[in-house]
Amino acid sequence: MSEEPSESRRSALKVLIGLGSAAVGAVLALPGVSYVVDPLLRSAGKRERWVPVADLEGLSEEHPVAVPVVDEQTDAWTTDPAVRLGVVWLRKKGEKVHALTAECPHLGCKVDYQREDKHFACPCHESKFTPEGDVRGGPAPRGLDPLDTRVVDGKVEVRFARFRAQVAERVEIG
Amino acid sequence: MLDKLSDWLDDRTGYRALVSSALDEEIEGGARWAYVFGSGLLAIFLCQMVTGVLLMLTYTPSVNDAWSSVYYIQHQVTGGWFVRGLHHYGAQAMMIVLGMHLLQVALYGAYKKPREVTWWVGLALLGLVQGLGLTGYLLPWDQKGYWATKVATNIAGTVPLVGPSIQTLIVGGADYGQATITRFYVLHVAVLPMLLLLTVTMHVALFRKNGATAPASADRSVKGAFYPDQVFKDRVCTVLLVGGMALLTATTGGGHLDAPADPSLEYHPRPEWYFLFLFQLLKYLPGSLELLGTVVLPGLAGAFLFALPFFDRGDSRALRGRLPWLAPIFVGGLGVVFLTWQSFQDDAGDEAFQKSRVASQQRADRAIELAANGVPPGGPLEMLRRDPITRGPDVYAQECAGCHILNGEGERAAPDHTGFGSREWVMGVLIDPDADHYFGTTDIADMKPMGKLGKAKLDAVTEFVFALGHQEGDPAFDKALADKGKEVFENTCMDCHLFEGDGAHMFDGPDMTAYGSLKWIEGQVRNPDAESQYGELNEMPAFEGELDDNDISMVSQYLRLQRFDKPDILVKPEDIPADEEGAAGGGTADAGAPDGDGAE
Repeated sequence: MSEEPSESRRSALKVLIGLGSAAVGAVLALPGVSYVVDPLLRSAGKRERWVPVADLEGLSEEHPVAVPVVDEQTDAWTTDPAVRLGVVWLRKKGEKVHALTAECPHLGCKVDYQREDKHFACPCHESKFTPEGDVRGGPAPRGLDPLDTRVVDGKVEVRFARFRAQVAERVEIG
Repeated sequence: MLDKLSDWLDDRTGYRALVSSALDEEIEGGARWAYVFGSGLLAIFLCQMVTGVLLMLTYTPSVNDAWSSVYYIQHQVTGGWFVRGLHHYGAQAMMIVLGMHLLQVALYGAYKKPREVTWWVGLALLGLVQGLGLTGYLLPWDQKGYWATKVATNIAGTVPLVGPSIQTLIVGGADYGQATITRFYVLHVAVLPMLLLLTVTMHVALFRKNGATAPASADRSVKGAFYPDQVFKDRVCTVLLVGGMALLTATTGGGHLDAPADPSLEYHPRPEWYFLFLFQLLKYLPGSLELLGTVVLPGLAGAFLFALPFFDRGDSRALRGRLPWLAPIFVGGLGVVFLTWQSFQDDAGDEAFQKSRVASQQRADRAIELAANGVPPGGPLEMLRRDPITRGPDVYAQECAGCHILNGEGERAAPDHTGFGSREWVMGVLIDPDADHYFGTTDIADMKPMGKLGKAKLDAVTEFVFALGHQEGDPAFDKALADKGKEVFENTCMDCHLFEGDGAHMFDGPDMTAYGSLKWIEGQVRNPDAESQYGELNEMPAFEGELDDNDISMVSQYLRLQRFDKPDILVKPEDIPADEEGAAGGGTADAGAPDGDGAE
C-alpha cells in the first residue's frame, strides 16, 4: 500500500471496476428486461369459442340490437367463468344473423345505433356507419367489423373477436 | 467528436466538477477492505429498488389477489422468479451486511467525535431496513407472512399505554384484512423507501464530510485514492454480494411462496430468520416479564447504541481502552447468534412444527398446481375450497376423524376409510366383516363372513362390488370377472342386500346399487340412516344440513379417491382362503386389472 500506484495499475483497476459494474448491471438487466417485456412474449390466443348471446326470435330485421357477450376469460391470474367481454350488434336476416362489433375501428370507442337516422355513430370522432357497417362518414379507416354467427336450436351464437384499430384491413387481435 | 460533445455538456452542466468531487477523494491511511460494507449496502439498496419496482408491475395488494399475483410473478411472468429471488435474498443480504457494517464501525471507533451524527443516522437506517423486512414479509399474503405478522403486530400491542392504539393503526382496524395489506404495502413501497433514501443520502453526505475512520494503528501518512483504489474494493464486494444473491436464487428457485393465508387453519408461525432471536427470547419470558423481551431489552439495546458516542468519549480509538464499551455489543451479538441457533435447533427437534410445515408445503404445492389453470374470482381460498384433495381432508379431519380412521389418523369407532371401496377393502369386508377396522366397533353385526366361497368366487364378487362404484374416467375394471361375480352376488348376497330394486328377501341390509360411487357416498354422508343405507342399525350422524353442499361433495369425492389407493393393511394374502376345489382362476382379480393409482 505504501508505493505510489502506477498509472498502469490504476488503469487496470478502472477496467476491472467497469467489468464488475457491467456484470452487476447484467444480473439486474437481463431478468428485468424480460420481466418488463413479458406481455410481448405472450401470444394473444384467438378465441375459437362460440358464445350464445341471444334468441333468434327476439331479433329484429329492421334495426340492429345490442347484446352483451358473456364468456369465460383469463385475465392475468384470474379465470372468471362469466365476464362481460363486450357488446355485439345483431340483426336478423331471414334465418341467419348479421353481427357487428360495437368497437369503432378508428380508435375503439363504443358505437351506438341511432334509430331515427338509421346509422351507427361513434361518440368520439363522429364516424358514422350504415346498418350494414359500411363507413358513411368521419375518420374511420374501415367499416364496423363483422363477426361469424350461427344459429343452434333458435339460439344465436357469435364467435367474438377484437380487431386492430386505425388500419384499413381487418387484423384480428384475439 | 466525443470530446467536443463532452466539452459542450460540461460547459452547460459542469458535470466534470461533480464527478471529480465524487471520485477524487483522498483516503487517509489508504483504501481498505474494511470499508466495503457501506457501499455494499448501497448497492443492495439500489438492487432492491430496481427489483422492487419490477415486482410492483405485477403485485396486487389485495386480500383476494395478493397470493395469486405473487404466484403469477413466481410461475408465469418471464424472469419473474429471478427478479423476486433477487429481492428476497437482497433483503437478507442487507441484514447480514448491516450487522457487519455496524460491527466494523464499532471496532474502528468510527462513532466517536466528529462522527456521532453519522452513527445515529446509521442506526436509523438499521431500523428502517428492519421495517422493510417486516412489512415485505406479509405482502404475499401467504400462511407464513400472515401468521408471522399477526405475532409481530400483537407484540407492538404490548407496548404500555399506546400499544393497542399503535397496533390498530398498523393493522388498520381490529381484524387483519384489506386495510392491513394496503397499509403494509404503502409502508413497504412508499413510506419506508422514501425515508430510507433520505436517510441514506444524509448518511453518505456525512460520511463524505468527515471521511473514513482509519484504525488507530494505521499509518496516516499513507494516502489512497477513493477512485480507483477504494472503488475497486467496493466493486469486488458488490460483485460478490449480487453474485451470491443471483447464485442463491438460481439454485433455490428464488423466494418461497407458502399456502394462501387462511385464518381458519392451524399454523406454527415463525418470523424471518433475522427476527428469530426475538421470537426465541419470548419463550423464556412468562407473561408478566414479556414486556422485557418485546420492549425493554430491544429498547435498551437501541438506547445503548445511540448513547455509545457519549459513553466512550476518550480520544483514543485503540481497541484496548474501549473494550468495556464494546463488550455489550459483543455479548448482545453473541446472544443474538445463540438465540437464533437455538430457535433453529428447537424447530428441528419439534415434531409438531415439522409436521405443520410439511402440511403447509403440501397445501402450497397443491395451490400452485391449481393456480396454473387460473384462480377463480373468489381468490385462492375459494380455489382450495372447491378442491377435493385440499378441502376433502380438512372436512374429514373436522367431521369424520372423530369416529373413522383414514391413513392412520382418527379414532376407531367406525369402519376404517383407508382404501375404502378398493378391491382390498371389499375383499377384507367379505372375509371378516366384524373385524375392528370394519364393522366390529359398530352395531352392524349381521353379515356373515364369506371366506367359505373360496378364492375364485371371492375374487369375482370383489371385482363385481368394486365395479359398482365405477364411474366414467376411472381406470377400467375386469368386466368378465365382474360378470362372474354378479352371479355369485345374486346367489349369495341378495338374501340380505338390495340390488337394483330386487333382493333383501330375508334381511334388510344396505342397498348395494352403485355402492362406492360418488352418489352412494354422498347419500351415506347426507343421510346414513336412510332405508337404502344402514337404516335402524346406523349410528353415524347425518350431515345433511350440517355441512353445506360444497363440503359434502368435497369430502365425498375425497373418500371416493381412497378406492384407488392400494392399502396393504386391510387384507393380507394369507387371509384369503384357498379354493376348496382348487379351481383355476386364482389371482384373476389382479390379472389384467389396471393399476388403480392413476386417479391421483
